[in-house]
Amino acid sequence: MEEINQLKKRMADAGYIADTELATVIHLCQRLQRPLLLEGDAGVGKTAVAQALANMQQCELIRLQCYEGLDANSALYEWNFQRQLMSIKLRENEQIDSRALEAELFSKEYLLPRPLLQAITTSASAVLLIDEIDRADDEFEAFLLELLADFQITIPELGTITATHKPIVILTSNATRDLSDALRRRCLFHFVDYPDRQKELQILNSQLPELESALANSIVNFVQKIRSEHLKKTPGVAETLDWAAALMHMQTRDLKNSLPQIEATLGCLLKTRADLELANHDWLNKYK
Amino acid sequence: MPIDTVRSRLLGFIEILKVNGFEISTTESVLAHEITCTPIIQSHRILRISLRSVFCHSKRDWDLFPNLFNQYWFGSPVDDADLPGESGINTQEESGTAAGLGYFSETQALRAATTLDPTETEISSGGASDARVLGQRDFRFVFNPREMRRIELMVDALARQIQKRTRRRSVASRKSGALDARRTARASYRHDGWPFTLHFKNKRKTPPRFVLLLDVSQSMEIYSYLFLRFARGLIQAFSDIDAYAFHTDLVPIGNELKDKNTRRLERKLKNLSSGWLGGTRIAESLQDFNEQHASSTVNRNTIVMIFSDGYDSSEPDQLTEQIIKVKKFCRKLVWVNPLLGRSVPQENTVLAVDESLLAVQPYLDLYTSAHSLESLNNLAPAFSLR
Repeated sequence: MEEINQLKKRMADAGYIADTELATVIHLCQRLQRPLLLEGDAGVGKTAVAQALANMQQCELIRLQCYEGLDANSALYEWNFQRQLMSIKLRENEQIDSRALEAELFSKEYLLPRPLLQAITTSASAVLLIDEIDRADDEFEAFLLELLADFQITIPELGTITATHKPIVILTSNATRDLSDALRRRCLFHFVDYPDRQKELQILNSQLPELESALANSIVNFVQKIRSEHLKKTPGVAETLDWAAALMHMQTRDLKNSLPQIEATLGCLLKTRADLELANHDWLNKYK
Repeated sequence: MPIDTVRSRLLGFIEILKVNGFEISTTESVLAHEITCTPIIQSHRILRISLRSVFCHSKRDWDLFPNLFNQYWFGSPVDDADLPGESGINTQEESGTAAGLGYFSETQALRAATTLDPTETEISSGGASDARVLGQRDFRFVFNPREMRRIELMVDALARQIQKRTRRRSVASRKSGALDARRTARASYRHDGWPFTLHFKNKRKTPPRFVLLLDVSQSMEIYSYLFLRFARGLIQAFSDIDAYAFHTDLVPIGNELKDKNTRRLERKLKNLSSGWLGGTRIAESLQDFNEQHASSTVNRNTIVMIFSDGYDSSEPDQLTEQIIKVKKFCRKLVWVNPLLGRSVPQENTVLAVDESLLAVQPYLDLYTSAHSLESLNNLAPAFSLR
């Protein structure tokens, strides 16, 4: 338990308020060298876990942002095709052995390492963040399985490259689609939910220390209440922080007598037209 | 609790989780055992947190786990205060007014499945053959709450599988095709003929959209809640899908079924459910659909699926007329009739179906049954535009 508490404290120093559950899972990931799959709605602080871990370990954070159509080449490595062509053209008139030229063209000099290769070849252990894995295609997921199992990559022209230091791997997902069972099995799972009142207040105090405590309390109360509404996009922690910063900038002291400021800054909290239309005077007065 | 006791009871706990729809393989079992060997497992709370991270693969698993853990290891419901910020499961189920709607609630089935009945061990561990028997059984012959629970979970999984199949086809078709020689050659002019930029032929394929029309009248009572559950699974898996329930009136339920919060969904459906499990007027409901919704929700890329037994108090000609109108709007029209799967048809059933449906069958692209999981699984062709 001592180890877990220490980890919580170190995470807090790195700027992330982790509960016992998350700290335990991170501890297990490090101990068992398993990737960690963080699932939850957008804006609840999944990516921030990886950033805080990198800060805590004082190591490099290598980020791979996934998107539909992402393929192994963009994630792993690419040959510098244009540079290779240029090199061939410049040596057109030189008498060079074609085999030697070919070997040179497919050497590390012409290799463009992408995040996954960077994470494997880095000289010190790094944190590899594979962000929004649910946006990538099934084929890319299957490719990741191989990488996460052995932490080695085979480049046909160069041979197999094995990780000298296994990175800490964090995968995040907004659950927009189901991930394959095979990928889930290789990871430890943690669901990042919206924080409760106490935790959100802690986050606000830690990220915006200059915020007055009375205002911080009312902001958290307000946000906690509107999360129970059926909004199209429920505000996450990131939105709360943005809104608090905006209110602070508007020199708001408390929410009770600040309806104009609330209305002016509500766009930081509610991100769709339907949600903003819902937030009329009565609705705001009910919650503030 | 001594660590040896934990290890010896772990297999029983895994069994319980499997019964409740957790997908657990040897990998997770070995990992769980490995975790119990680490020195950090000094309290039941840390054990619970650790096993939760190994066995849970989704939000649903995540929410169910604390209750199942405490029921199995301590025989008591979850103590919410124990885990700060944890969303505990309310074991007090709200009483449902309309039959069938309660099946959206996880709690009733959870209570039935948190303990292993020694007499049922064989059933729960029957493996593939047991699943096959359950898959073939008509929904109206499922009385055991645990079997119903398994069917519900299988229906949810089936909806996700169908989405995966359809998506796989669409993704495969989106992939770049062969090298586009003309565009590549044209792009090479600026580089003195060197092909620095390669262009590929793109294939475009628009994925289909779906409209589900679900009969929730008295005659469909046995099947309607499973179809609603199936529709909910589809709605949450596909992005472009809409649903309507009909009895004597037509009610849009697409937005309600999109809600991932089960309790809120239950409340919303209860508000909409006046008149459900009563009579049916399919033709009038379809007329409402054609006049009020079809123009905005149906296009030439839409597959319309009607889940109904065909019992209709309107005139058969009226139904045919409305079916022809629906057919004009959409690409494909599918009628799913659970009565078709009955091995020994009742005389009056056959007559009723004959009378109301024989006339419309020529206008349907697919007329099929879905009385069991197996037949529901065979619906796959219905989800293709071809």
